[in-house]
Amino acid sequence: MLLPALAGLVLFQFAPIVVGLLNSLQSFNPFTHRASGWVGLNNFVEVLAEPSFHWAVLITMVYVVLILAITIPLALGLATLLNSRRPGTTFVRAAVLGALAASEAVTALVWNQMYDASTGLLNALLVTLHLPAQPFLIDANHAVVSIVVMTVWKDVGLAMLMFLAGLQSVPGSVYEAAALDGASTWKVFQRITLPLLRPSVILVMFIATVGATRLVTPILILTQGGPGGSTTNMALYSYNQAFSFNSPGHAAASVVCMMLLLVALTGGQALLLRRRGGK
Amino acid sequence: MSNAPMLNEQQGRRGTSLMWPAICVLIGLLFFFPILWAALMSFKSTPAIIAERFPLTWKSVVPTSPTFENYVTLFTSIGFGRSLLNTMIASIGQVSASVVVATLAGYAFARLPFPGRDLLFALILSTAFVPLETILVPLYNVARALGLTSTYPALFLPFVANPFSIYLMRQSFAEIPVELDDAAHIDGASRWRVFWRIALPNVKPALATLVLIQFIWSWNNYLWPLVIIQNPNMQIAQVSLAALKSIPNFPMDGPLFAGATILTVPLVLLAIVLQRYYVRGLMTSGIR
Amino acid sequence: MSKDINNIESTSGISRRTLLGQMAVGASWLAMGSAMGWASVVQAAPGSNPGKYKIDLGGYNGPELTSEPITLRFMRQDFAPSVNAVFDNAYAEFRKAYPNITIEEEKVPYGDLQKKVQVYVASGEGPDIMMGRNDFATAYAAGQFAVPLNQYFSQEFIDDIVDSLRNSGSVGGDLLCLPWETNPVFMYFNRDIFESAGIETPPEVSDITQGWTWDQFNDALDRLTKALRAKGDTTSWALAASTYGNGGPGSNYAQLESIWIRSMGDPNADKASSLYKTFAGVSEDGLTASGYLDTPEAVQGMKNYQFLFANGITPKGAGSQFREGIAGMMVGSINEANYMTSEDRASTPYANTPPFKFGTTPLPRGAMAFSAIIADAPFVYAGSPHVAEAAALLAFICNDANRLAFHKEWGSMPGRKSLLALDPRYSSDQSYQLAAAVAATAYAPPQTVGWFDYFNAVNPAVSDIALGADPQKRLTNAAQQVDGLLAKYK
Repeated sequence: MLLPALAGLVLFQFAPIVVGLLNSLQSFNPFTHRASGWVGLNNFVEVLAEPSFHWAVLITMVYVVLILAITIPLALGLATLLNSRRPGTTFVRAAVLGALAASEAVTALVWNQMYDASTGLLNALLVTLHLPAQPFLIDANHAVVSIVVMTVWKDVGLAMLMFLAGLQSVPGSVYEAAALDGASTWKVFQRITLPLLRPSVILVMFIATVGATRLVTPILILTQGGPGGSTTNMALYSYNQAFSFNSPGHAAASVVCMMLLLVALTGGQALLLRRRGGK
Repeated sequence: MSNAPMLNEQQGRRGTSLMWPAICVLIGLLFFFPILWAALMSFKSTPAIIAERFPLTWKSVVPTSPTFENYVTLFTSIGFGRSLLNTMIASIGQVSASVVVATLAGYAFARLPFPGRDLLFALILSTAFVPLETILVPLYNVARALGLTSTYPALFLPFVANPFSIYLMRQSFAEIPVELDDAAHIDGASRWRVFWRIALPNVKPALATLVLIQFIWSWNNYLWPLVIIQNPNMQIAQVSLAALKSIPNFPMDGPLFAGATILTVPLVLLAIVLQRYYVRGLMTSGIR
Repeated sequence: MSKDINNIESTSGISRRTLLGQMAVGASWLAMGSAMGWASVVQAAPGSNPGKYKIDLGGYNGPELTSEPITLRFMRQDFAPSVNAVFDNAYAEFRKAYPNITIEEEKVPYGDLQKKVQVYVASGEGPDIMMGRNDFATAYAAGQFAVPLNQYFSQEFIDDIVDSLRNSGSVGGDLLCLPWETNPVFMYFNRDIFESAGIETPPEVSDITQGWTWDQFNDALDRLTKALRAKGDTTSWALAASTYGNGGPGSNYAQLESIWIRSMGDPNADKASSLYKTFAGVSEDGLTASGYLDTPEAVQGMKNYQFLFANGITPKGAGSQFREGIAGMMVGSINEANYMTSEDRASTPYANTPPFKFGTTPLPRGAMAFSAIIADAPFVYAGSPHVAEAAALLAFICNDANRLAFHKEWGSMPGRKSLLALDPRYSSDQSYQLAAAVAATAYAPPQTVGWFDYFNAVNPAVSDIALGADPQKRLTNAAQQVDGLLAKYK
């Protein structure tokens, strides 16, 4: 049963990752990107000495925290609200899933236009409402938030789907019993729904953490990592090392650092959630 | 309603029942707006888009003289039909293969005890940590060594065994009460039969999620097709659109919006079709 | 018409030999009559040699092509459908002569071209011809993955390439890529906007040393902006957003930011002087940018740049304001004039924008009149199993007839002198003369094998400065970053 999965993973995931690990220990011809010799931990030493890499580590964490803090409550809220047959829910569900399904082309076209400082829709709206125009992609802090907002818009549907699927495993009789006891909606959610959704929460946390750490395309679409490198996370740093700065060795070393960070983050989450669940 | 001195339960209900659709419409519009906008723009000619883009008025959003010319251009002089077909082939390949692979693997991880299971699972999850962008060259070399360049399988094979999907399916199988399996075993059912008759019907919501997510992921692939496909007749729609976007001094905004709309519609439809699996009571559950 | 040929003599300082060549081509062209169309050039010329092979392979002088069935792959950017048709027609003609050779085209989004080249080169297998750029020639030489074209092209053809282009595409006498067009940049202005605001228009000259200075430029555009706003016009801009950058916030001029920086230097100054270093952009050995990219002159150049954004003279985003008739000036190449004077404007994306009168003027100058030359330049991949055939196909695409058809549809400026001589406008019309003058005097990018890293690091710095970063700090920081990046080339 595992064979097809293992075959695919070994060929297309493990093999390239092992090559990546080995790359992090080698030097490269900057013109042809071919390996030219073993250099031990030299790539790591050089990458870790880079102030821009330190910033990339920090900003990676910022993305993770912000995206998790918005996505999980929002997805949970949407899923609970939409897990009913009330009128209007079909529309919202379709809209949220539509955002998830929107092609990269739509996303880039529309959000860049909305965020544009001089001619954008959002600033036009703000000015109409007599509010000050905002430097959405221009100021470092605004840019990070703008990227997070677009990412959440696009991906919250995924988390919502997971929660909706999880809600299906909560037997309806539980709610009926609670309703008979006269429990409030909030109490039902807190005491019954949430504990039963724990596996889904763990899954969503995992996917959202990994997704937020690996974030590349939204940054490239909106800011290309600027201003002043302030929106460049570890994944984009690595991408730039490979494709803008002819340094496959540095690129591989920074990916390895990113993997270690992810192991720590997801491992920490798993421990935390398991302990809580054990209570 | 706010001036009603006292709300009895009946009135409160009506209050929320009026509020509710309003909230729904608001949330829905927030999420739908970018897509709706792209769709509206696709019915404007490129010169009209450019001329009415700024200053921002209602004309910037609404087609004043709606036209299908963008769609015509897209399918006649740009040959979008071919790349759309390629996208569909790749997506169907990826969805069908990955659903089979993830379901089998997920069941194995949830139900079959074997040595090193948790370690193997952790190892598989760790592959999710690496973004495609950063293993592009090694992955390209693997695919080339397998003779996959410019083939349809190249478009989806690397994504068939996906750690997220395996995790999702393992989780869903794990949530089925073991008692169901045991009961079936006592009845003399084989493991395969248990999987097919008991386990699978119980993970329909997860399967629907899997189909939808895999479809979305494959549909929106960009970097990998860009690199692995060299024969333009096999290139997918996302890359064709990006090429269109980068033509210097010749903005193709109209066809671009049309292409973006065409790419979004099937996914939204699929999402709407599949959503019945998430709604309580609309699906026939395997648990009785 | 003969007046035009005389004009060449009087306006440009090209050698007598080239001039004679041009006259010969020009005369044959005149004999044909323009009504017969570009494809009918049959007289032998640097870029045309009918009869030598089965088909006019232009400057190719290598062995006769194989009769084995082979496939040639060509990777390039996408163009508008009418330009793509030029290529399709050419391939059809090629296949008629060489039915055994299949041509496969790969069209890649322009911004992804270099990435794909990198992946191909790293994997050791790739298309036979790939679209490169003349400014990467040093990297092509150092990485040894581009075939020196001298072995397959006649010297006459190579000499025919505009000197500045040929020099920037060559290393040690080897031509590593074929700059197939040129995009010399200068300034356009919207006469109507200037006149209605009552601001004096810039000098319409073809001598690049007679344009505005940066101070005059900034001052005039500042006054224009204020005049526009005073009239209540909030949609127009004095200077259009760059059409050269990678879009995104902080409009930038990609590799052309040197217009602002290096024009503050002087190539004739003492080599130890700050002026010379500003012009050079990088140390003699090509490995240090600190002290070159961040000189006081360079910082002043970037302050001039920042002034435009800080005072609302130019948008911070992207756009095509000039063509839309809502920008006073823009940095552009000859495509713009070709577009403005084109008869079928109604069929372009800008059909609904109102027409206006335009003029051209040199780029503003600092201590010197400076322009950089960047051109798309296909190269033949050294890993190709069919190098000779690939070179022949490239030569065919670049023969006179196919090039002229391309320039006619696409609007770019030919990269070869004999083709320029065929177009009378380059000797009679000020805008075109200006373009030719810029092409003749443009400089190569800072001389370093790490130019790719260099501009990838400087580009964001320029964007940041546009958005308000301190020019001194940001340039110093970029220079240090470049130093670090260049260390690997030691």
